Amino acid sequence: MDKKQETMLRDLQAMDIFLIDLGLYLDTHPCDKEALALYKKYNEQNNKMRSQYQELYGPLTIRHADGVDYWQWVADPWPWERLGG
Amino acid sequence: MWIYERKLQYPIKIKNPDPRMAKVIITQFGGPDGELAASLRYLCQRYCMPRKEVSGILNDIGTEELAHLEMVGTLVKQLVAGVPPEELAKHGLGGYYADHGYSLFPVDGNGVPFTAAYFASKGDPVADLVEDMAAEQKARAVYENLIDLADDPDVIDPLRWLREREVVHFQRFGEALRMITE
Ligand SMILES: [Fe+2]
Repeated sequence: MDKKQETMLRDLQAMDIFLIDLGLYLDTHPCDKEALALYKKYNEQNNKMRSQYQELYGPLTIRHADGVDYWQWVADPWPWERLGG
Repeated sequence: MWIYERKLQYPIKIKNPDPRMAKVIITQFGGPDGELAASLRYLCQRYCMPRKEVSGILNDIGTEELAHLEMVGTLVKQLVAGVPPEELAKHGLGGYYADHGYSLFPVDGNGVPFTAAYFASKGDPVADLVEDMAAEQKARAVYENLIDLADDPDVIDPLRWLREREVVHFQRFGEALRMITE
């Protein structure tokens, strides 16, 4: 993983845990309007970040995988194989 | 259903292999308070809850625990990467190597294999949620013990992060219990 990929992945992981955390909070506080608005706002930002990452470094989920000569999904190291996850 | 996401939940970057730490950290893979037990506990319990919100928190925390299982597996894998078998044996992993090579297998720190007896699913929401709160505290305590045993910041950092998640989960299960009892 080059420096740029590592940085982008770190940003993605940071955004992801923010959303996971907020999602868990919303499970037990489903009427919190402020949290609902935050979730919507940051989820949109997250989707943009994911698209940018996937364009450069390949699919995050199998739904985004394709390939012409080779199945892209298995082209790169798996998260447990690369330093930095 | 689930869709696999091709990234770890938090970065792990072990530069110095350390079989001594691999041997103890594996308990969070397959030990009594480990991530496999946690995930199965919540994913089993979620079928029988009186409120959708509570099934939701069990579903979502159960899912997150699978991501933690992957992180702990990655820690173990990177901690033994390139370590020769005789070196593993010196750190108490000879028996493990004989049975599993460099593969991951759910055991505790003493090599005892995983058992579903590590968790309960009672069909009683109060009993289940109180168990879940205790489970999160026990997992937090194990991470703190592991941090005490570690000296490499590359190992301590993800362990601290995982410990933090147990604190959040405990909080959410407390709220879920209140939703049911109030
Ligand atoms: Fe947890």
